[in-house]
Amino acid sequence: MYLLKIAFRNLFRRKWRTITTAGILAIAIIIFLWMDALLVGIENMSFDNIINLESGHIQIGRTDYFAEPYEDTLDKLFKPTEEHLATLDKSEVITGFTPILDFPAIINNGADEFPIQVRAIDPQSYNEVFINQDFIVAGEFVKSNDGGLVIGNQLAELLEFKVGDYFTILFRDKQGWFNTIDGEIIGIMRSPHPEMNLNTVFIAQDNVYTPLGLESRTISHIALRIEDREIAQHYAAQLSEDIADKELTVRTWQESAKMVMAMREAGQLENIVLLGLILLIGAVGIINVVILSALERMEEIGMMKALGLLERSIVKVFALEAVGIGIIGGLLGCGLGAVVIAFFNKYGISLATFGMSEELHYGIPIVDRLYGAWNPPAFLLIFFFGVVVALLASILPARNAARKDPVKTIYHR
Amino acid sequence: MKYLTKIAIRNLSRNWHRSLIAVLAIAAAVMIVVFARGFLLGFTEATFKIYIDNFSGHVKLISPGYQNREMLLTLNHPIDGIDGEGLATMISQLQEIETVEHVLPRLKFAAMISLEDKLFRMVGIGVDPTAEQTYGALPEDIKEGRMVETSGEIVVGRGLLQELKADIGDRFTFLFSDAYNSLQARTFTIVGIRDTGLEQLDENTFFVNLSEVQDMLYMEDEATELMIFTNSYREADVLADDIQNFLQENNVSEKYTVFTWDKADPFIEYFNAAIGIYDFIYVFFILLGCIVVINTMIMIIRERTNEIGMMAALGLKRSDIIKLFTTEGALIGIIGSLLGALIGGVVTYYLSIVGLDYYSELVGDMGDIIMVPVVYPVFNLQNLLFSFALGAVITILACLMPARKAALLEPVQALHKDV
Repeated sequence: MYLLKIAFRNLFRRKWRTITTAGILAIAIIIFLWMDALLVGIENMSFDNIINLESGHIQIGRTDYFAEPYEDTLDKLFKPTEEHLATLDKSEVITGFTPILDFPAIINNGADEFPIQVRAIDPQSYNEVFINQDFIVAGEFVKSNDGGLVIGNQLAELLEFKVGDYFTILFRDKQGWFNTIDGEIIGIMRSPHPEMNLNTVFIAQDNVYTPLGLESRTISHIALRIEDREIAQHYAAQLSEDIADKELTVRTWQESAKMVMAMREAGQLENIVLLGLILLIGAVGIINVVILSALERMEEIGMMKALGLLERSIVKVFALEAVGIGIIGGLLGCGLGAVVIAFFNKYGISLATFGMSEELHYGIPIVDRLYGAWNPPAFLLIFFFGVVVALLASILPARNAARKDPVKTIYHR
Repeated sequence: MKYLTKIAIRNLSRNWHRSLIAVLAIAAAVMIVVFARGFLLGFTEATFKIYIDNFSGHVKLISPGYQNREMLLTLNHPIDGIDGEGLATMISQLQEIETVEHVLPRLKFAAMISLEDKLFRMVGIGVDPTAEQTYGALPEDIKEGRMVETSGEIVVGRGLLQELKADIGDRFTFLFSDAYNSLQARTFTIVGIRDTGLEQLDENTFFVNLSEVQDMLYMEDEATELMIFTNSYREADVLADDIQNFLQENNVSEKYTVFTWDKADPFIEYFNAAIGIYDFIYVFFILLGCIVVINTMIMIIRERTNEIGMMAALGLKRSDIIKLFTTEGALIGIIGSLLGALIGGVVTYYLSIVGLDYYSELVGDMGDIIMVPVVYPVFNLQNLLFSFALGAVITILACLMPARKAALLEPVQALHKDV
């Protein structure tokens, strides 16, 4: 306690030195926290967009379909049985489910063609699970018994499609013959999931079974919405038991978000490297402070030792001082970091700041503005880490100072 | 000045612990700068080279209508020469421009192979083997077999080859739409394998002789794009201006557009902007290091207040005192920067040989972004000199503040001050 008091007093003897060194730590912490908020924000928004527009929370489909959905798609379909549907109906966790038939095709505007993914849906139940219809910018979303096609705005731009234009989609049917579906574009969607705006088109299921040569109600997978995305993994495991069908796999949205997770990992790595470099300089700063303080207090130290203070206790005083700088830096960094993140979370930043646009999205499923997110564990972790770095950096120079011969130091001059 | 330098050196050696740690702080910062610059340079040069060699050339010449529809592999916006005189004439005219080194005509088209029950979609690129040979990037990437020479031959990417479960000598029938949108077929023999090490480039492209592609698509003497090269990618702007002038002289500046490599892809544009930001980060790192030096200087001045007073009383001018302390700071800065540049240089040199595997685990999941998986930082003297100068100059500037403070001390008060 006594040593703590000395350390505390020492901390404020050279205010500029303490503040600048704590400042280095604080800067490292602010940068780390902000980058972390950015990464978590990207992740949060991406996950929401993937779930709400592409995958739903949970998908049920054949194991071989999930393994390689783009090859031989039509051989990997299934027809949900009454029991399957009854199981889903009974569940209290599921708030909606919809059968989906995804298959690859080529869309043609009469001059050029482009490969796409056709999503044949049951409009009524689809809207209970997904929110694609909220992002229609022209025309309307798919309705039952309607042969029309809804496309994304980027595809529309690329192929110069407008609502009311005629399209042809070309694909191979179940027997392997080429077949087409023609019709009118009825709606254009601009969703916050850029990939979907280019690659995916929507059509009502009733229109595709005959041209594909499939029995009706055959689907590639069922998409489910549940209450909370965090419980998806847990619930999927349970659902898998309930359905108990060897051919079918129950998988969660995480499978569709792998790219985002990889990005997060890459970002995290960069963040840690940057943090490490700044902390390296921070550590040199702490060592500097301890050496300077020790030099200044040479006589003091000699006197304390002469009066019987143990070397260990002297090291402790210096270490506590360094920890003090770590705590000041940590508090400053976390405090200012929180302010920065609060602003960031509230107002967001335009993705254009990072040079991103709808065309150049690096596969990140977000458009327009990016908002950060709170991640309390990061605050705790970085605070703790800063203090530990300060402590570790101080020990060697402090021991060096404490080892000096008391007689020599008192007669320093 | 010599006299002051001598004092400064002696002063620094008075407490070598303290001086050393200040030197180390600067050294650490400069080392980070050397390495970061080397790494970034290695990363960007490699990335730029991929884009330049495979997509844009130093300058890319296309028809304006092709610009946003390149993704569609449309054949409706070809380059058919000046006033329709044909591509060959246009190329030979372009080659007369002084800055033009190589002109590579390319004709991209969509093709399919139907194998068993599967349909493989791919991008065919018609290339002029003689022209490609002079530039060399494509022939270099052909790791097995050889370049296409006559008709009926193709070079395929390694990834595509594996997907087709094929090997050199195998024959495949390709389906494709010609310029009149009617479906055609032609059989090719694989004569070479292209392996760039980048999945995105190797998994769905193949190369055919340009004259054969022109013939089979009914696009006689046409191409979809021209990749034009000069001596170095840094001179692309000059090249673009020259070509623009050439187009204007021939009254076809409406018919064709030219892009420099850094404008041809938005990713590269973004990348270039990001590099500008890094310059600030370097300065920031060195400033962090300077805080340590400033702290040390402040202590030195406090310690020597009596000495300063004495020197001032003996007639040393204020400017001399500033010089003395700045020299001390400068010595720390110079020695630190030198040390940092040396260590950073050694690290960078080592990594420039073995490479730094930074992304390869992630690249597979990263989708469309083409990046080199293993980065070889660039080791060059220019980088070391720049980093050294940056470190030394910023440290010297940072020392001016405490030095001024020392010079402003009143001699009498300073002499009497009890430390």
